[in-house]
Formats: sequence, structure tokens, C-alpha cells
Amino acid sequence: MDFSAYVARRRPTLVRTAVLLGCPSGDAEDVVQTALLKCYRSWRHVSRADGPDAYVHRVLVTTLIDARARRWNGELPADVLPEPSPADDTAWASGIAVRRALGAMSQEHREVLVLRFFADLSERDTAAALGVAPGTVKSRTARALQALAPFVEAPDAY
Amino acid sequence: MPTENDARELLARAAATIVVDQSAPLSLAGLPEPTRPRWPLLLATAAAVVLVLGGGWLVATHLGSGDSPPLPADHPVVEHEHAYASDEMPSLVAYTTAEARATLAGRGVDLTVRKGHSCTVPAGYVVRTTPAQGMRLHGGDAVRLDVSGGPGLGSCTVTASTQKWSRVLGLIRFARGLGGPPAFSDDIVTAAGGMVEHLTATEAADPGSWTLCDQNSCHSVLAAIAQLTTVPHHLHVEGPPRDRFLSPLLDIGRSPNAGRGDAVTMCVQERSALDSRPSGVTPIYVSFDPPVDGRAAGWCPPIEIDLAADGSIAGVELLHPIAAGTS
Repeated sequence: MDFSAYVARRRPTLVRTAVLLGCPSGDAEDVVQTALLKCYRSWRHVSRADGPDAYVHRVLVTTLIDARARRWNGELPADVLPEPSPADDTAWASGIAVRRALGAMSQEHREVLVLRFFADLSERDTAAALGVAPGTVKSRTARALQALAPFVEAPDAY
Repeated sequence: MPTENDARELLARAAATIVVDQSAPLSLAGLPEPTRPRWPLLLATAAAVVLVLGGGWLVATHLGSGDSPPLPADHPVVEHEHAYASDEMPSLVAYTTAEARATLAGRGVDLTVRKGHSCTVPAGYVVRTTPAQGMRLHGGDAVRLDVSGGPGLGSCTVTASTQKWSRVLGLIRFARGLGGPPAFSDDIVTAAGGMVEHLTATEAADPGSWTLCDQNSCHSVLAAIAQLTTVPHHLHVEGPPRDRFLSPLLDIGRSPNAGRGDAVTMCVQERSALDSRPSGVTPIYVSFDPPVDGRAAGWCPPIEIDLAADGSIAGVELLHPIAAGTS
């Protein structure tokens, strides 16, 4: 796959993935840009794979870790998120509630949920992206899913 | 309990609240596609490198400083081999018996060598020391080296594992300055500190080529290997010293932590090729299992070594940062 085509198609998803992983919205574009630039340098190697998503997400995760270590002092929880939020949109309110739930999780649980169920990586690719064993991904996923139980059991409450 | 589809729906809902500026400049989408390098360009680059290196060597020779460091002083490589004092047991990981004897010579220790079969470590290499690296060592102390005699007759069934371990061992020796470069592929991927770079086999033979720097720091996966193999394993351990050393798992693919709580274990675990690997490349994950008060720590392989179909090393990647003083 051409690098330009990949960027054009996947960049919005990568930005959202970065935010869901805990990157402040204002920094997400920069972090994704940095990660993609790292991938560009080895794209010839990456593009020979069936799908470059696993590699790109691994670079994205390491870039996030680096950025967090250098620039962030941790997330600052806020009652009001900076994005425009239509008050009458229940789906929007529910989405915000899910983001708050993600923010309350441990980083490990948040990572597996986002990479498995938003970035749509397989267990094996998620393990490679996070540098852990696939069995670890499986066990973390099971525990992390429990944190989402309230949204399924009483969806109207959110 | 939410199903996977529930989770997908909830995360999609969460993602829908994140506004992505579609009009943001897609500068990366406008980059020229990476292309395969051409031979003339490679030859010209090689000639330029030779000229630069030769010129640099001449200048350094004339200035009388042939061993100038390759990096700016304010950017030391983050990873580094642990140095032991003269009254501490040194790290003998990947040492031959002769090298280990030479290292311990003159310390006045009571040295014994015990040979045993190993299905993974080639004959002649140290597989374990007592006491372990980092322990206090005084004159007259008893030191035992367990040395591999190679696979016993009929005792090993996975001969390929021995070959793969030999590759890893060769890389460790190269990283520690104990041996020359192992067999490298023509195109080697090295990654450290979130940076990725390609090296030719010639470049890879120079340890300095493995150093990757960004604006803030420099990293080297080779230095990381040296650090991992020399980190003192008595940290955080209470009670009397125990026998600890690095040893490869005999059963490739099994859970590396099972029953290994009292030994530092180097796991060489084969996996099926990842999607991001070129076809024919087999990744090997290298991890260390430092015991903490007798309990095994969580498994988290920090190093990935990719072997090409011909057994040459096609990639060495530091998967995540290594904490100072531990693995």
C-alpha cells in the first residue's frame, strides 16, 4: 500500500486512537504526525507486510509513551470536554461517558480496549503493538471489558 | 459482561465525539513514495562514506585523538552496559569458558567448572555462575561455572532451537564487544527509542551505526542488549544470595515464567511471523525474568530479533524502554 494512500485513509482513525489512548486532543495530531514520519522512513519494510496497521500502531504507542514522558504530567480530568457537544444528542453524551470511563481505567486496560476494538487489531497484533504476550492481551481485555459493563446493562443511565 | 461487539460500538461512540480537523495539512500524504535504492546511488553513498570516514580518520590521526566519541557529549546513549567493581561477581553472560577463566584470574577465587548438557547453549559457553553477577566476591570465595557441553546424545529434539540460540548468542557477544559481527542480512531494521532505521550489513558491523538519536536522546538496541545481560540481579532480593544467572529456556514456546522463580531466565520464544514482517522472517522475542524476592516478575520481552529465512539477522528492535537498573 502506498504511504500517501495509507495516511489519507487512516490518519483520522489514528488521531482518534491516540486520543482514546489518553493523548490530549490538542497533541494528538502532532503525535500521529510524528509516528507516521517514523513509519515513513521504513515504509518499504512495512509495506511488504499484509497490513501495516500493527506496525504503525506499535510506533504510535511508543511515540505516545515518549511524548507522555517528555511533555505531559498526566491527564487533567475535566468536567467539560473541549469538543463541541450537542446537549440533546444522547449518543454524543454516551460517547463522552465512555471516554470518561476509559480515562478512569488503568493505561494497560485502556490500551487493549482501544487497540482491539477501535483500531481493530487482532490479539496478536495488539500484543506486538504493546510489547506483551498475546495471553496478556487476552486477560487484560477480559478485565477491561468489565469496566464497560455499566454501559451495556443500563445504557440509558449514560 | 459486554461482548466484543458491545465494546466496538461503545468505542465507536466515544470516537465519534473526537473532532478531527479534516482540513489539517496532510503534509505526510504528499511525501514521495519510498523507493527501493538503486545500485549507483548505493555505490556513490558507499564511496562518500569511505571518503568521509577516511578523511575523519586522517584528521583524527593528525589531531592525536583517534578514539573520539561518535556522539555529542550532551547526548549519551540512554542504555549502557553495567560495570561491576573488582569485588563484585562480573557478568559472564555469553562468555566462553576460557574468557570467563581469564576474567576471574587474579581475583584469588576458588574456581570450579562443571560441564552439563544444554539443548540450546553451544558447547563451551558459560550457562550459569554461582554466585550470580553483582554478588560480593572476596578472595578465597568459591566460584562455580556451569558450562555447556552441548546437546547430549538423544536428549534434545529441537535442533533448530540450538541454531537460533546461537544467533542470539552471537548478537549478544557482538553487543558486549566479545566477538565480531554475526551474520547480518543486507537490510537490517533497527529500532530503539521509538525510532526506526535501516542498516546495511556493512553498517551493522559497526556498533556505532546502531545509535539512533532524536532531539532529546540517543538510543541503541545493541547497548540495550548489553545492559540487559549485565544488570545486577541481586537488586530487591532479600535473604541469602541465591544462585542466579542467565539461561535460555529449553522448551521453546512455553510460558517463560513457569517454575523459574529462582533463576534469571533469558527467554527465546518463537512466534509465528507478525503481519508487519516480510515473508520468511521469524521474530524471536528476548526477555529477562528477574526474580523479585523469589517471585518471577511479569513477562515483558524488551527485545525482538528477526531472523531471515537463511538464518541471518534481519532486525533487532527495542520494543519498549528499559528501566535503569532492572530489566
